[in-house]
Amino acid sequence: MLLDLLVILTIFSFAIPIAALLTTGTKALYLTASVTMASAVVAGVIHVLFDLPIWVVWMATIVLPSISLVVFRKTRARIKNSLSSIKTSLSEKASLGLTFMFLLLAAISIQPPLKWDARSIWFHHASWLNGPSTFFLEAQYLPAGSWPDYPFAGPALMALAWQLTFQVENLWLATQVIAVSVVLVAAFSAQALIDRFGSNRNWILRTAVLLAFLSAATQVADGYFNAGYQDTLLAASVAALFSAVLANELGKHQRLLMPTLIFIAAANVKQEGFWFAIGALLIATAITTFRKDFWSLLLIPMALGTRALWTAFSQSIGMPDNSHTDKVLERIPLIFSPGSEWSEKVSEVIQTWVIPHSLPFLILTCLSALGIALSGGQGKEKFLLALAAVVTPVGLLGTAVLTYALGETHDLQWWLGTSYTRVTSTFELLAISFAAIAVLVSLEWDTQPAVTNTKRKVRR
Amino acid sequence: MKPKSLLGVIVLLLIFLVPSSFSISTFKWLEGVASRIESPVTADEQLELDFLSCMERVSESIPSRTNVFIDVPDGNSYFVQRAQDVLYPRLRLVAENPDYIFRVNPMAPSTHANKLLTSENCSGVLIEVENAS
Repeated sequence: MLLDLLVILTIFSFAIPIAALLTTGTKALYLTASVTMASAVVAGVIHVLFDLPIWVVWMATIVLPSISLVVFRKTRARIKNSLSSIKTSLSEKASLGLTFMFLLLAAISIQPPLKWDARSIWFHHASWLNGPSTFFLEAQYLPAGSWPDYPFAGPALMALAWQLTFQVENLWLATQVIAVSVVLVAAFSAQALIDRFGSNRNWILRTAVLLAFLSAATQVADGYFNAGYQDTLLAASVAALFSAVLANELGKHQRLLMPTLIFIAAANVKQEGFWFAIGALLIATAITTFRKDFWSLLLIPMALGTRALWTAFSQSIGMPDNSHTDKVLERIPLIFSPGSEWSEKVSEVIQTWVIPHSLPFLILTCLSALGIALSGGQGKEKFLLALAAVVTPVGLLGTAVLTYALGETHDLQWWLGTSYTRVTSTFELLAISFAAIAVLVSLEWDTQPAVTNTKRKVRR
Repeated sequence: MKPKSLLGVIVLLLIFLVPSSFSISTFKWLEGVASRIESPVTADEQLELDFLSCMERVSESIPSRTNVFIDVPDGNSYFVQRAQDVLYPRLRLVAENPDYIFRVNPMAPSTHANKLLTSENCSGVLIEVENAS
């Protein structure tokens, strides 16, 4: 298990030069997971269309550019400068140590590759991508397995790890790739918020927030982050996207490129990934636009563009459409008719699942909003952030509730029972993201003590 | 303590709680790690891993890239899905005109209208491979 961890971290480390030009410090190290995932998605698409092995495309998109960046003196200096804070900052060292500890513990506690969805969807899709492209193309019409139309960020990453280690479908390694990705993406998400909203805070408080966030990430989605499921990876990726847009204070190119890469990763983890990611993106860009960062508006057409590319790809290879959601939009007006089938279904979902399982997180969002509103900082911006603290998680939860209640399903309670706690993990981790912001802005435990001016009386 | 600081402390403590069990998430995480270190694979999990290995071993009698029909007489979706993820993509799965039939848990031994290649009991589940061509 530890050897597999070393292998996975080595694969991700090839993306460090690229990540270090997009962000700084430990965030650059953590961002390597999202960068590698985005490249794996692209590699998977190119593999299916042109029958090129995934590892070859990864070499062309990550390894060769990274080597070039290190060879050229100017970019090498920038990379070194970007990572220099890790050596000098106590907070960064604590962050790295804590994250590494989580990686180590995740590696030695991997669950056997047996969980239902993990085996029948994600590992299976990884094996389709691991051979010639005919395997993936045939699976679209043969009775070969579940959900051939699902996106494949996770499976492509698994296939990449298999190909680079010459292992034929080692499901334990595949499980660990996802677990490591979850820890790194969650760490990026938390660190971005900590650096943005708690830059002056004492290192102990900053580390406590990171510890809380990473611990929470291991527990959402039924704790399946290291069982091969993709739900926690989706939750962490959407949270990372939100943090990346909100917290990005570098030049305009980094403001566009980093969130775009994270969006490609997040939107391709699961089928609902695009909808959750675009929702988080819209709200984050609303906040940054208010701060007069108009460049971030370009992220929206970029996000829609990546979706258009995926649609074109899926149609070109004849992917079936298994979605439950065709009729959701047209049924929304019907939920306002009392006594209608759809309003009763919405009621059923809220009473049987939202209240017992999600109410604590809804309370957390309200407290977070209050904490942000009471904090210092510019009035209108903090009001917008406080509003987003409620709207973003509740919006995501509402999307999930409407999909369950209004989508095509014959056994609603079975569907809820087998998936609700996993699908709502994105809402939960976003609620925790805003709670982290609230903690950082409320608790004024600063590294530097306040300077007090004392007036000395001058004797004449 | 200022009200906003008190609220900040409360929110920090709430992040640490796992709402479903009101336990501290860090401790729950460490408990999970400890139980996995103690028992990396439980007895039930080992049984399932053995079953899947056995299923894969039985399928090795079928040449690669031939057309196979998965026959699960009682329609057990677990057997259907596990057979799919073990067999494909090494074998092509088809709904008709197969070269081979991969039968899982037949209610009665097959009449063997086709030539029986392999039959094995995998953890109490009978798996048979027949040549259908």
